[in-house]
Amino acid sequence: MKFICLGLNHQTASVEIRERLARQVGVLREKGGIWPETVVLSTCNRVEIYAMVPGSQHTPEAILGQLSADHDPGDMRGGLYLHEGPQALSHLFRVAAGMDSMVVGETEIFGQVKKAYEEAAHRGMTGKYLNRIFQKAFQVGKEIRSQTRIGQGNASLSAVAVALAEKIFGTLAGRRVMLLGAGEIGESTARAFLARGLRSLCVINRSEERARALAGELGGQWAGLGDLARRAVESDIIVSSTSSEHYLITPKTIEKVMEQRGYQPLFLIDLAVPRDVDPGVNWIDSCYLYNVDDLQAMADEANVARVRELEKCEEIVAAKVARVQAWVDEKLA
Amino acid sequence: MTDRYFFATATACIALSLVVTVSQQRRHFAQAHKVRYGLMLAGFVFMSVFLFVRASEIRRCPLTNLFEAMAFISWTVSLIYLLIGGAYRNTLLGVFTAPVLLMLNLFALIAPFDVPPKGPAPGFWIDLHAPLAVMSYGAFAVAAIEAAMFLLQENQIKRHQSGPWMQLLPSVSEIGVMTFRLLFLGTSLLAVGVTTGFVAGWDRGWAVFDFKTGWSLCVLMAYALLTTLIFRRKLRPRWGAWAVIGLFLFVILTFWGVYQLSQLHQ
Repeated sequence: MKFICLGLNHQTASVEIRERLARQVGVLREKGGIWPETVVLSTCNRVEIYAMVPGSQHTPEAILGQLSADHDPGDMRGGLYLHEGPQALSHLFRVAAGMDSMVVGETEIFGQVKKAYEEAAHRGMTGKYLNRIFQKAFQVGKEIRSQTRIGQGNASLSAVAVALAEKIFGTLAGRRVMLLGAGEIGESTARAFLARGLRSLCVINRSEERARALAGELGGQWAGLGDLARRAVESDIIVSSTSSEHYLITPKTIEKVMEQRGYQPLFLIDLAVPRDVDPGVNWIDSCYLYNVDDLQAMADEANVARVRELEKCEEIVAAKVARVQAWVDEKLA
Repeated sequence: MTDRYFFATATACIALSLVVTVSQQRRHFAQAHKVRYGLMLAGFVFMSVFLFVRASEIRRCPLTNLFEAMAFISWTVSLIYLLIGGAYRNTLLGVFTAPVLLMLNLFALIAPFDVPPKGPAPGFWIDLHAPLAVMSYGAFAVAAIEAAMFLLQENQIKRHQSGPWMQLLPSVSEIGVMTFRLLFLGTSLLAVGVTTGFVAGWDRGWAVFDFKTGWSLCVLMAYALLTTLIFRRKLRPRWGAWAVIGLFLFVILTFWGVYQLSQLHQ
């Protein structure tokens, strides 16, 4: 018997191929597993099967064949990886610690691994080996997070925007946000702010119908472009992502807005390309303007710092893998 | 006087805190926060012991000369730092406060200001007037430190510099609120201090108007105006921060000269 990990991730396969395998392993999960101990991890970036598989000869095809008799690996083959023994352990520990994630050090994956394990345990698909191995993976994930700086800084655009807003306002509870344009990137940033307990949100869009729909979805108000200056006076954060060809917000507009606001801080996030906000706005007192490149640069900086920590993380993983593998070998002997 | 050793020990603790801060610069200050805070706390305790021993020796509030006045300001700044830095997790306030305290203390120790008091104890009103006025300068000092932190943080955010300073400093709004509270506290203390000074003078039939009292009234009015303008949002935050720093520098740079010119206060 061997501990294996078979799967695909964002680095090895396209989303269409990941979807195919996800459907396949969904069937496996419903069946209650083929092998005595199986955990299925299926997220938007990876689909992986962790299992204790009997026999000594394993190939991805053979394992996939066991999932479904009529299964054709086809174009999936190129992206599939199969890790066995210590490599599989190392892979699981790295995944749980966020070392293998698209955004290195992100914490969501830890919860997803935990959920996958709990679901398998609930269905009776885990035993003494996987219980021990997954508990160790959670322990390693926590240890890496506390002993290294892999989770430091903000590595996504919306996280950077929220962190900056907190450096301007402190707590975001009670603050008001204006969403200028109803694009997807603006919406996701607005959602990140709403999750921090903002007081109100107002959507302003050229198409009033879309503004009304999005405002309804996000639980805010809506207004037309003509109301921009008046709404800006009432807002603390402006997230802009329209497809306008020229600046919608100019220093002249904001000077007047700031006078009416008594120079309380105003944070402008310009996610549009071409830009919606004249860069001169940043130099008005108490105005802080960041465009998409500024945010991306900060996210990249955090990512680089996290990647630099990987070496330290690998050392922790290697030490733990050796210990767990020794335990597995002893039990199998 | 041997009590000066306590003050010197307090100064050594503050100097050590500054050494720890500088040595931790590469590690972004935060790691040695507890050590730094502990050393500042030790400095505060030694300064408290100094003031207590000095008060017992001279049997009045230890504000009879410029050395004691500076020691009292230093003690007040330490107290405010320990209260704010601890309660608001403002770890960087200590980084800014330690050099200010060290300069104050070293100047007080080196300069020949520590002369024994002449004449009898001046009584309750003066014993109330002097510490209140000096404590108000302590509050203005910390307000000026907060204003400097505001300008630094504002500059970091405006220039898109996400370095360790930006991460460790509180938000500009929080620093602004704290600066206003300290200004309000300082202005209130100074107002009560100046009033008790006049009451004491009239009570004894002194000629209360001289250069120092006029200067104190001007300083009080300037701080009251600044606090009101900030409260009513009539001043751009950046200008407000510069005004807080400028006014405090004016106070600290003219205090000694004004004190020398005042027969009443000597």
